[in-house]
Amino acid sequence: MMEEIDKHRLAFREESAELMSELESLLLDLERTPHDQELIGSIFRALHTVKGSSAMFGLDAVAGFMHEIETVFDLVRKERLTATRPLIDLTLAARDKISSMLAADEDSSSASDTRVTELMTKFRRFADEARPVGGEAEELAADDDSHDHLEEESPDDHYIIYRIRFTPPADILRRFADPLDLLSELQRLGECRIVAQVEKIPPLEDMDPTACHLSWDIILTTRHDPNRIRDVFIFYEGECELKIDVVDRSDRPSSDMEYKRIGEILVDRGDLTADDLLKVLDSRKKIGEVLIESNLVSGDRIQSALMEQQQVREARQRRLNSESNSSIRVPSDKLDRLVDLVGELVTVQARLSQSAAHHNDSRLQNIAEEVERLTEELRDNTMSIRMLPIGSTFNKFTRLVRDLSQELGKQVEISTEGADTELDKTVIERLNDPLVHIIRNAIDHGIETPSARRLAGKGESGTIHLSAVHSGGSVIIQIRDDGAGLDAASIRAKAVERGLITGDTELSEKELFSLILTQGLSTARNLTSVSGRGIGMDVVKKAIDNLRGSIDITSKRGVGTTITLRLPLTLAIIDGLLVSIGNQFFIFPLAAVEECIELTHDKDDRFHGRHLTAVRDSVVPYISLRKTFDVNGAPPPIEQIVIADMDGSKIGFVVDHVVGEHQTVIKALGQVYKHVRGVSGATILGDGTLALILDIRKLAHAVEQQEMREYLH
Amino acid sequence: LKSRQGEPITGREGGKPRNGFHLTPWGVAMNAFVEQQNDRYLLYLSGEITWQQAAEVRSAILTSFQSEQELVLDLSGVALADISLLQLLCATHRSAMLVGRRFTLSGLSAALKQVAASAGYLREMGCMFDVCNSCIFVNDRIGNAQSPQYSDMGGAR
Repeated sequence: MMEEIDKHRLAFREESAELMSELESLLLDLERTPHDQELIGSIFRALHTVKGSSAMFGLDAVAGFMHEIETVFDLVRKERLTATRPLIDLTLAARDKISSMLAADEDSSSASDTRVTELMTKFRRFADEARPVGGEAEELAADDDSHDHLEEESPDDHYIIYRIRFTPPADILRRFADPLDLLSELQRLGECRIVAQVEKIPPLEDMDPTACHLSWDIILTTRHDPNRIRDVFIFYEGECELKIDVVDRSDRPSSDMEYKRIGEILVDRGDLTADDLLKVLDSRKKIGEVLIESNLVSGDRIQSALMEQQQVREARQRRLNSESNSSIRVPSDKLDRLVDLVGELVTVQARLSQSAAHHNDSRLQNIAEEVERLTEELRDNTMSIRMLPIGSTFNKFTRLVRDLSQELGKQVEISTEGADTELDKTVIERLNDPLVHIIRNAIDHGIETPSARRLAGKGESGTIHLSAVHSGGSVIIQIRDDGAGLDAASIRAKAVERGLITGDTELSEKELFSLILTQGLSTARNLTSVSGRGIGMDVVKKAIDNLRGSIDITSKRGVGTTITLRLPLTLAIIDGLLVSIGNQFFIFPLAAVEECIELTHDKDDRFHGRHLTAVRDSVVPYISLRKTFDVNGAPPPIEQIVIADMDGSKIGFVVDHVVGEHQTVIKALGQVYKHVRGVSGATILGDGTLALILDIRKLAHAVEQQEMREYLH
Repeated sequence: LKSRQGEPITGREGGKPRNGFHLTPWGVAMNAFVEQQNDRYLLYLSGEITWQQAAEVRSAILTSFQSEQELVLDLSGVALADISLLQLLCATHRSAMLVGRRFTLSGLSAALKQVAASAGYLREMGCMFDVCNSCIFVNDRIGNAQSPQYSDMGGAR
């Protein structure tokens, strides 16, 4: 039983968190279009829903607070208050406070929370300013959180006809609630025809006098959507039976004037089975005037009409299903477990393939091939389940940009591109903080004040453009601003000052800009609350490195700055190139590998301490991994160079043999090995051997530094 | 039939009338009395007849069934009602029809009619149990609120 309660509570927390996040978007939208009644209605509904469920879970402080907000938005809905910027600011602040209260999930008395009191007072002030009602007097019950007059129909004639079947919980009366109140709520939404269903009332001797034995069929004509109807029954959700079907709409052209026959309607509602209907027609027995019409039509006409009706019903059901949200929540750890299992399967499948090849049994090989094919598909599928569009992350930044620009006195617009580019869930989560840092910097340092922009001949409002696109095995995310750009000279000066470089070190522009990713380097003249401590960008670099990604910065003074993040699509399984050195195996990430060529020793020149080889018309430096990893034994007469691409420049790694492509399930190395440079993980090969996965970038860097040191000494 | 001041009801003592206003455990006043005259058992209900009084009313009606006298229900004084009274009326009607017993509804207050209307209780014809075609909620029959209604319910046909 306790588990049950916790499960519900967890669901409540998740759902209300989602609603709070939706509420934020709605409020931001409302700021742009303050008179949009649809938006106001959605906001009201969100408030109402969270209020109700908070009350149910004992969070009375939250419920009480939300009631105040709801009251004010009810006034907005009735157009007695306008959704001005101050009101939206206040509501956003309240939303933040409530989100943290919900996350804390403890009921604190609102009296003791000064912030809540402060906010509620401000809301009440707004309520006091509401314009008086024009025309007819309105009944305003003090604690009535439902409105008292018929909700206005929209000016156009759009309507939907619903069939609603409602069975309240049997003890509803004993809870001091009256189903007739719910019915009158429905009547506020539009014209209702209500029919009580009395069949379940037992004879007096067997009847429980305080229970509700009734259910209701209601035909409602309204412009509202089904959610608005559901809202009426919201407090009994899950305890009552509620079925809402769309029967007709004004925007659906209907070819025939006559609606369905009574018999069809009854069968449609499930009040009568098709069999019974046919039986009645056969026997010609009259049960009320309800079935009179159907008597005039023969059995098989009814049959075919029933089939047609069945078809339409199914088509409509399908449409309703596809319109509703067809997704299901899955706990993350279940998904992780699935990914793990798929990883194990990939490993075992590799062993199977290897074994099949070994045994030279064609039947077994066929089966092994099929297993390999299926495993690949399973792997791709599972990986894609973990993929989420980056759009939701982008949307979060709308609020951030708004608040930050306000705080820093700048005007900034945000635009996005590629919102449905998908990334692995973990990558998206870990990307959030780095992106926040980058955007903060862009607004703080990049975008100029409106007056400065005017002087520079730019529009007063700066833009931050976020884009995401797939490219090969990676995702490329760009953050582009049209601000002042980076000051190369200033960065250089600061770097010299901090001893990162010497005065005469030559650096390309790209390398210079990369310096800002170093800890402790900030060219901000003032410390703002947002940035200037110089700790932002290096944290970003670390996070991106941990994601096995890369950062590039380009900038043009006076024009703007572009930061490009390149991230792998998935963290768990990559396509790798298996190589061997001596009796040890290593994996190169295949995405980085350009080609493999033979190394013949007479090409082994040294130049400035680096081994070089000629590849077609260019010169490629290479390093010997045998030397780097200190592998015993002698190299074979002909070695291979794996040539990898590192952001445009090529570098070669000498190995003994290139074994071939290998689907690599990445296993993390333990804490003990984390400091080993050049190795980012390990994997198990088909025969159980361990292969180390190389981090090309770090490897190259480490070797370079080593060789530099050797050369200089 | 005219209603007369008589003695309040009880279901428990086999039809023996008692005095005064009847206060339910919830402290709500229901004014109801039973009068037994010759072969009729008159049950007069007035005031608030909601779910909190429903059990009492049911007891009274069941008592009348035991007494073998014809039940006459006078509802002209019902000032406040909810669906429980509507349910009771249906249940009584059903029981009566099952055993072929007659009972009479004399007087239906405007308030009760309003509740019936709000609850979607008014119909074109009786429900499937209404084999005698005597349902009082049928539109043609429910008539004018002011004039007392004499309706012969139950009984085998």
